Amino acid sequence: MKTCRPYESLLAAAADGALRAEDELRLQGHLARCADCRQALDESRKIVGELRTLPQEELPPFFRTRLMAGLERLEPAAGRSRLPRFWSSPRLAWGTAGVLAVLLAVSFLQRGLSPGDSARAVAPAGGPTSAEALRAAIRPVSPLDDSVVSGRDVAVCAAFGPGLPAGSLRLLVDGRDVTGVADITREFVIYAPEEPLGAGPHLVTIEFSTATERIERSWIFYAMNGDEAHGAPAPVSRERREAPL
Amino acid sequence: MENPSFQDVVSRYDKRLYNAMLAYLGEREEALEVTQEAFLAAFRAYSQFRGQSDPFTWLYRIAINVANRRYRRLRRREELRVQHASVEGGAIPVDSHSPESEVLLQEKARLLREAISQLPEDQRIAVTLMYLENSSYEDIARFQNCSVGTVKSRLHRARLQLAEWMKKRE
Repeated sequence: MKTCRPYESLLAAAADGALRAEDELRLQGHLARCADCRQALDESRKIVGELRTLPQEELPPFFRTRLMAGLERLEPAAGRSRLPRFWSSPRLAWGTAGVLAVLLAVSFLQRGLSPGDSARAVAPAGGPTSAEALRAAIRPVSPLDDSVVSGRDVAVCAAFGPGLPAGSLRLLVDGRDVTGVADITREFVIYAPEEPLGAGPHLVTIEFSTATERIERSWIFYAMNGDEAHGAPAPVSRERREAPL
Repeated sequence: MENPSFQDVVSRYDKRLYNAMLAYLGEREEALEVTQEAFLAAFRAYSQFRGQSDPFTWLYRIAINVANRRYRRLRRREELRVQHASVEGGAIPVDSHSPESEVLLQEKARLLREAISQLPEDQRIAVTLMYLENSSYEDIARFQNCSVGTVKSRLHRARLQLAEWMKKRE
């Protein structure tokens, strides 16, 4: 409405609770005469209330894990060292920098690396957090342990049990970190290699850490191709599968 | 003064940027992708960040640029979905064990984010900065390179549209 246009900015300020005292009377005078603006202001205030209380969603688990993996891929190209070294050196992260990694995990957890966007806790309060329970909550799905598959159609997949708490995850295939190119959800991690896997044994390792525990879950499968049909592939020692950290 | 490590930037702003993008785009998956892509872009440019502006504002601007590149595609996809979808009532996947009030709250939040995502870009930016980020009129005006009066006017028009949208959907 033409006569209302001069009051637009006052209505805006009023809806935001930012109306200056000297404008208050002026706007009140207009509102007393204009039912449309009264209604508009009521609706605006209602909307502002809803906007200001719009619930904040948590980031899904592993968001930071994936982001960090992406940053690690950028870091060599950038030719700089702006990430802490343990981000670009898995061995350091899980080995000699163990204390640092635990501190980082604590920091991540405290700052919101928490379960899913439905605001449901993945783990109930006091849920399983021991190394054994964590290991049991990560279940190899594909290829199964000790199975033999075609190297051309491999999809490496593990499912997460409902007891898995928030934490940080890394997926390695034959020691190569593929976290950044894996799909990770609250329920599973899946990685499909772009190239066929070579014939022979392949070791899958999932490294998972919470504020208090760090575990590895490993399993082995065997890839075959058309040229390699005789004899079992060389075994990978069982000790490598459940190596303590 | 030296910039904080990028790790600190991520830790401090990832949830905030994700929620700002969720409001801006109205879709979780898109918001996650944009947030991730924005951080990667920010990382590439971090050495040039002089710390003269608020890091969040800097990240937000990058994220808006990333989002806008993807936005047209998303809009087109949504138009196609609306054209071809059977009537589904707009149900959202919520936990069936949720208390009713929580389900309603989630649905209302979803509707509101959807409504924001339908606003013109200048209004969407003003709304997310003002109401989600509690920025001042002056800060938004600087961000949008316009006058404070224009910001107020954009917010006013946005609120009217949002109210209208919510009335239709409720």
